[in-house]
Amino acid sequence: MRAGPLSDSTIISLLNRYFVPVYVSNEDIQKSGSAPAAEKQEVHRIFAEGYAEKRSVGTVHVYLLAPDGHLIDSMHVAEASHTPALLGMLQRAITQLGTHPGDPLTRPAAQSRPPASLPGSLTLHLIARGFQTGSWRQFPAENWIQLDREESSRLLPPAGVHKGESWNPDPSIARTLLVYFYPQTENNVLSSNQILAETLRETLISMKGGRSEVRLDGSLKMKHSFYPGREDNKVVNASFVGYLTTASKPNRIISLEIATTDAAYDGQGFGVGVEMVPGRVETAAGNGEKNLIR
Amino acid sequence: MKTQLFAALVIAAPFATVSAPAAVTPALTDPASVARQIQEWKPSAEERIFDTIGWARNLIDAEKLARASQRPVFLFTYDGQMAIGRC
Repeated sequence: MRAGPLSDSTIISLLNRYFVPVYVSNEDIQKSGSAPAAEKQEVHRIFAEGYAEKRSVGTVHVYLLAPDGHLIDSMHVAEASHTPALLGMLQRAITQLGTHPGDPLTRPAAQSRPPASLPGSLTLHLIARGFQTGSWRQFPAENWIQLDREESSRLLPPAGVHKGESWNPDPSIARTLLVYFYPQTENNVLSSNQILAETLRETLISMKGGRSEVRLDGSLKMKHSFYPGREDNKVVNASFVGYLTTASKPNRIISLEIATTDAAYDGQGFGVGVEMVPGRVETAAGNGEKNLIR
Repeated sequence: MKTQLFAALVIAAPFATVSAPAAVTPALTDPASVARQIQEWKPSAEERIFDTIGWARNLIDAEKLARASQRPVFLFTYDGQMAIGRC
């Protein structure tokens, strides 16, 4: 949907001018999910209303609700992912309700944002881009990874190291990062990723003016099932390089960038890039979005 | 300065062990080339056009906005995490 109708300018224009668009992940509304109880209940109310009215109901669906919250139409994603079908559905609702056009009710904002930064934490932005085309490869995946002060200190040069010397940092820090090294799949349960082997080696390549530059070299072999809960023995194989710069007083990382030099999942190539970014400062508006009416 | 830098380095990495230099991978041999590669893989503006939709924060908020504006709600339910492309 994101790469199809939700990237179509006509659909986007209709959603912004006539609708209140919202998306809800099934991960968040399951029993153990992060959505508030009221939102979980509301999704299930909509499902129940759909069943009662013998409409199409499912977990991957488009639902249109009247301004009073009642379900007026629904469509399975297999159909809704075709732009003409979704366009027709939206236009029918506009006509049925006599909705007048207007400006978006929520200011459009980047949907992938760094988390609010914690004191002393280091924020990393990870991009995983598949090199094939077609389904699951229309756009890259992203993750925002926060390392606290203690975690990031495990990447710092050890005491007494000289230019040109190498060392193996605490393996736990490599695993913290590498568990995200997989392309787009339906399985985002990090705890199900099984690292079979990993290496991370750091080399001090320069020391000047209170700054040190360190090169990282490493590799990964990790089992990652395409679908959650379905063992398929698919494996990520990757090698990567990176550079980090440290500053003293206090001793800290001031830049970090990592890129895979060779990576494949189930035989298909992909690339992962990781860079340190400024953490987001939390504002009164909350998550960067702002409702334009209240 | 040397003493200060040494003191700063002493604080770090209690688990690390020092040995001979590592081999250098032929490609991406400097920080600039790694940075360029990361930039190339980032989502393009075209791939982020989804961000031009004025998405409500959550369903409850959307329903409040719908009542106030007399607009219908467009609700998409899906598996994964669409905002970060993990879906």
